[in-house]
Amino acid sequence: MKKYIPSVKSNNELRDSMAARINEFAFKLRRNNFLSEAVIADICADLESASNDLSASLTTGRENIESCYNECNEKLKALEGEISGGMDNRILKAAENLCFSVSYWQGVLSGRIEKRESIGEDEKASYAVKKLKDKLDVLRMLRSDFHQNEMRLESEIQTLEKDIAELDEKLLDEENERMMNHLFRKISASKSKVGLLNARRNNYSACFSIMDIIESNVSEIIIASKYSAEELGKAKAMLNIEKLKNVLSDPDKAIAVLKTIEADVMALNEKEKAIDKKLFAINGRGVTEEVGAEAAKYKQELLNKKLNKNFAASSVKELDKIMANTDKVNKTILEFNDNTLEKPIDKLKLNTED
Amino acid sequence: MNKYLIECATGTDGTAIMSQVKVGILNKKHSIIVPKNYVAVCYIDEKPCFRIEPCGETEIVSEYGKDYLGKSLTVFYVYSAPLAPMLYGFGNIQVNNERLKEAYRVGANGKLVAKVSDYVKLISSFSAEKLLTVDMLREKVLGIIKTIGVPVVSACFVNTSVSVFEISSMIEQIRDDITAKLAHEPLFSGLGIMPVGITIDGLFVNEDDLETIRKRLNA
Repeated sequence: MKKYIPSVKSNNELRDSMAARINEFAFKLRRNNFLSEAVIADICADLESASNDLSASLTTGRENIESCYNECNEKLKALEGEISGGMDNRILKAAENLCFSVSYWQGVLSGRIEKRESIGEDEKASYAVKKLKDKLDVLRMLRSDFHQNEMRLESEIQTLEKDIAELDEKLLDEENERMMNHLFRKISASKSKVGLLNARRNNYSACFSIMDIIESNVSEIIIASKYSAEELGKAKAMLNIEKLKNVLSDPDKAIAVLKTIEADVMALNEKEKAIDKKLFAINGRGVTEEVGAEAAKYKQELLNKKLNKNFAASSVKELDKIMANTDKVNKTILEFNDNTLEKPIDKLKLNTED
Repeated sequence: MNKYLIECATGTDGTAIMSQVKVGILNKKHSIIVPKNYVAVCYIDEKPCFRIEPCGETEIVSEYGKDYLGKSLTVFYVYSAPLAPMLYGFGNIQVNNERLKEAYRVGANGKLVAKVSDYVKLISSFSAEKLLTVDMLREKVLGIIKTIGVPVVSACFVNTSVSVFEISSMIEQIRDDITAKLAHEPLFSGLGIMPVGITIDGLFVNEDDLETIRKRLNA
């Protein structure tokens, strides 16, 4: 791949290619029958506006926009991934992120934002982590494939159901016995087809869920591997792509991975409990600083002064509120005193009847 | 005189918002000067290609690449600083305040300061013009301000508890409302400009209406 060097031609090429990809994505999104119309309309409007604004922005040829392009690329892929998931709030968030990246790019091109080339901006990931990330990409592709197949079958099932409804109507109107038998045969065949396709669809849906869980877990493990090398080993074990590819015909292969994940999560929970226990033990009396008697006395004097000031308030209602708050403060101090000071301080007796 | 030197033909004091220079076929000898507060937007084969910030004499091909040698170049000099204030005014807005039992006609005038926000949109909106001045832009902007300002002023005075004799106290509110609406007005941003600030010099009531109300109150 050609190395990117900032120039008018290369900047314009990157800009135009990204704008074209966003436009194409928005165009195809309009044909999506599985998302709500309102969400599609919103997203398409935002994406088309972002794309037009990007196309209209002009470079001087000096701006380095390679990282802007890469970021927009990632956000676009993330949006495509969320569309597969079908959750409206995630899709809207991903679209917003993409539009933000595009507007950042425009800012760099227009000179409003100065993009500095920082050394080591992209983390130098180890070879092992890079390989794992490649495998993770394959896993995501598999997950996306399962989702596409599920949607395709859903579409076919819906078409068959419409056919069945149509044939039912024809059967009701038909008087000729020969034709009635013919129609009934067709309806039965369609219903069998629906049952078969539904079973396949459910299979894809279940496999998609398995892939989703594995993908989430492995993504987190790869991030954790920055801090602990043994996590890398775990991720490697889970990302046996050949086994995962066969999950469609042999779900047991994926179930073994799920069991490993379950054991991992249980172990994490235990670790967390142990850490919490240690932390709470540290937060005990021996370690905290004790407040001196002088400091506590001074605080009490300040409170008394505040109370006297507040007693001068005109409205009784205001006074009642202040009393309630002061009561709370006093209660807190008393509890604090009980726990830390040698001599307990007497409770303030407040006369609210005046 | 260097025939390959591209310069802004008009004055550089901001009266010319945009001026067009048809260069012809770009060759190695072409150089350009971009004065302060201007940006040169270069169209290669009638398509916006790149922009040049203020600079002294600069050779185009050596600075911006040989890819555009032999292609047709047109340069648009666009003013990038805030434009000179544009005067606006609208009036004869009928107000019927039922709460205070006052009916009158009101108007407003002031100044709008705008700035070019999108060079390509501005050039596309005025592609037929070789030279665009503040007055020419003002003609287009005046209609938009009136479209926004009239409903804002009417809405402010309907059923208000502020008397016709004290309408100047509403200036701040009207100004804020008009500024907010202008910032989001697609007709405005479609011209490639954005409002920097708007002032309302005064709110005026028809003298006859004022006199009628005054007589009624004093009776």
